[in-house]
Amino acid sequence: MIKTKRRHPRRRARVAIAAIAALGCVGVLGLPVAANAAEAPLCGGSLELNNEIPGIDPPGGLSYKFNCNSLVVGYGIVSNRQVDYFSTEVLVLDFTSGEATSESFGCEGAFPSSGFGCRGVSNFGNAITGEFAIGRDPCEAAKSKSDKFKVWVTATVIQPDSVTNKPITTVTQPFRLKNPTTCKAATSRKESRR
Amino acid sequence: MKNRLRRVGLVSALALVAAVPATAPATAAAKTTITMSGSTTVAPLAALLARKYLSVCDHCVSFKLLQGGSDIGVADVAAGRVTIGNSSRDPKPSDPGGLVFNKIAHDALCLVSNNANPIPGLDQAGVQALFGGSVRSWSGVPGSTQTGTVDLFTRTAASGTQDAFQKIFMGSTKIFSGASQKGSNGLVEQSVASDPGGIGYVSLAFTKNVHTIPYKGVECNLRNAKSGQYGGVRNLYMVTRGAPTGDAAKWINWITHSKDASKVIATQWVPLS
Repeated sequence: MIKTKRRHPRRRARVAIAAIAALGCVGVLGLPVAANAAEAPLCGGSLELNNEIPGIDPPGGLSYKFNCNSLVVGYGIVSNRQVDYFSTEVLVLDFTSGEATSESFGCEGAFPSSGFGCRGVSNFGNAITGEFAIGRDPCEAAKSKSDKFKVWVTATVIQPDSVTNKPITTVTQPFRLKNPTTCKAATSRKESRR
Repeated sequence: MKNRLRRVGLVSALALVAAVPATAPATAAAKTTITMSGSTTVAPLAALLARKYLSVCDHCVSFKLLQGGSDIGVADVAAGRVTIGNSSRDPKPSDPGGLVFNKIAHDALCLVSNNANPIPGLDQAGVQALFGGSVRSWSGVPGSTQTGTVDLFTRTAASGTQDAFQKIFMGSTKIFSGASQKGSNGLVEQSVASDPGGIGYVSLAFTKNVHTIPYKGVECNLRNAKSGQYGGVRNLYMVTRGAPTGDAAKWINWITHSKDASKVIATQWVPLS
């Protein structure tokens, strides 16, 4: 009898996603993989509920905001929920002042689908802010751990090559965007009423 | 060895996952995909309408939305690369033959300046002087809080918004060649929003972060566009090769005739009726 170690499902998912991203970089785009983890571009961000998107009946509307430690020239947003709307033009805010910059992105994709892709430019650290909508309430309780609402961003960035110092285009791993904090507040309010 | 096997297994599994999208279209063949490209003004409206249509027709079709500008949309549909070419300009004599411009809505084209420079109003001569390049300093513009150079933002040649602006506001006066050309409404909005000396023109849906300049004494807003008071209103089109057929015809017919679509359009644009 062969004993197999049972891996945590979340860890397995992470490994699979990282591997898919790596395959995407090497196999599809033929791009070099970052030399080491310290040089790998990093991105991070969050989601907020947005019930004020004109023409979108709530619930389902969301705003996303993220930034990366590199020059971003494109990104993809992917969710485990069906995405049925996304803003076609996306603002970029200055990372220090939070004010609008002259940078922006244009987004394209399919409806319904698992996500969409955007092209444009955002300088180091500037915040990319857009909107999208899913077919379900983002705060809806998950039926299981794997059913939990999740959104990832993968960015196409330009950074200096660690050896030649020449700018190279690379694709980041998928980074999970934090779920709306207002969902937690709504849930805890419901629980305290009970 | 075990690790190696595990790796091989993972790679095989991923290869299978990667292969799935290639076979997926065969199973979804029954559902038509309506592909659209073109106008960056029509794109946000098309996205909102697509979401509503999917919910009312119970996901009877799927959509693919690309941008690029009106000229790209017209060229794409003429070449059969997309089902619908989105256009925010009227047909041109130079357009390929056999195209049908299906009018879907009206849109207000607004003159915009930076919030720190809220220009109180412009008439046609003022717009022509500024965008034609004969007035290059804000000190020559009545009501301006700025004194520096006027930074003009215009659209690229493929843009329907540029074409409509030329026709409605500029007439025979050419746009100053030193104006900075932008590829989308959003880029013009962002450029003007981040430049106190900036001025440009955008679709009404892209005026959240900028000051809208009244034209001929009339504010650029939805109410004035609907009433016909505002002079800067243009048509939005979904262009098809010949009369639309099948699912594309149903989709365009729904946009132009249903109350649900009118409600979506009326949020930032002007419905046909």
